[in-house]
Amino acid sequence: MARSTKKGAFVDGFLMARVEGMNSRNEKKVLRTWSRRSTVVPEMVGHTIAVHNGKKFIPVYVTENMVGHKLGEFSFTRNFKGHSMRAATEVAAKPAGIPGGPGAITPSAPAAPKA
Amino acid sequence: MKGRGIKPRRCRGTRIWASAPEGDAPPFAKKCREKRTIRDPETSGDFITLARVVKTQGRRGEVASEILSDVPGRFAVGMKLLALPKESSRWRDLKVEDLWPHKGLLVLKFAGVDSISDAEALVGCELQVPSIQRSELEPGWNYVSDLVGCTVFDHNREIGRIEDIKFGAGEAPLLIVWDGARRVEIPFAEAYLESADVKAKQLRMKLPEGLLEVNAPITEEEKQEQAKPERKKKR
Repeated sequence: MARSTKKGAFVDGFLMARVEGMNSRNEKKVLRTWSRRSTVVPEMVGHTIAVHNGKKFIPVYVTENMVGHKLGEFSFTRNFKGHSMRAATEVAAKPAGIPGGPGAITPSAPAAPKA
Repeated sequence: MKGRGIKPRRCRGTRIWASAPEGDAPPFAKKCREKRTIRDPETSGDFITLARVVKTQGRRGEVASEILSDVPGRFAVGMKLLALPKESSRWRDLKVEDLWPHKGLLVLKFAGVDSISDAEALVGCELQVPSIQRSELEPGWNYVSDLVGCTVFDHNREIGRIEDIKFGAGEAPLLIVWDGARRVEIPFAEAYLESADVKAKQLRMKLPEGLLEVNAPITEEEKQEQAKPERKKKR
């Protein structure tokens, strides 16, 4: 069952306080947290949050598309290295766009409410 | 296959890899055959791997392959591929007769491979094409194989060389950088990227404070955060 919208998204108080503090100072600093249960809120967009995976911190650059998900979803606890290849592959990578900037991927439109 | 909006380029030089017998082959094909026998694919960058055969599929010699290309529509009927087995360095020329997606894999049917036992010989093979056939990417995109080996600079200070790139930590892929003593994970984000010169093997970044010391010992403030708050006593 989904969480009541009246309560809003759950974010640990100490994490929210640190994020808001950095926003008020216009500061970009990596935040380390163990709070995997906290929801990504719009205030976190553009920050890098290092989320603990049980062993080490994984730096997660927060973008608009991640809002509404939990921080723990982006810090994997299991690591599969995959099969090594003998030659280069055709796998491509692109830097994540600046939130709100021209390179940013726009979040998908929310689903229409059921009648 | 992940459709990440990559624009494929028209492939060049597919005729070179015609699987005609040695005597009938045109002069350019002979030249290529000589080149292939001399060069070792492990050491030369002449080939790229597009897929890896995972298992056999069906009864007519089909194989299920894991796609290692982000270019949409990379595989087509009539396409020529080279199968490089796991241990050996001897290629086998293959021509795609039919293909279809199945449970996250791509099923390929090759001409001349008509039974399960024929297909079993291909399991574990890397399906390759010459690197000149590599698709051109849209601006801003880079091949992972090009980024690996690049030196990362933070505010003109050398950090180390990229060993690997991990996907999954959000939208920004993680660059795994070896600085000589430890591995550092850096989010590949435009906000931190100053310039990327893949030809010169250099990536200039402006990293935020604390990113390189992300696994340093915890501070007092963080210790308090970790400590559980005392529960209120029930009356």
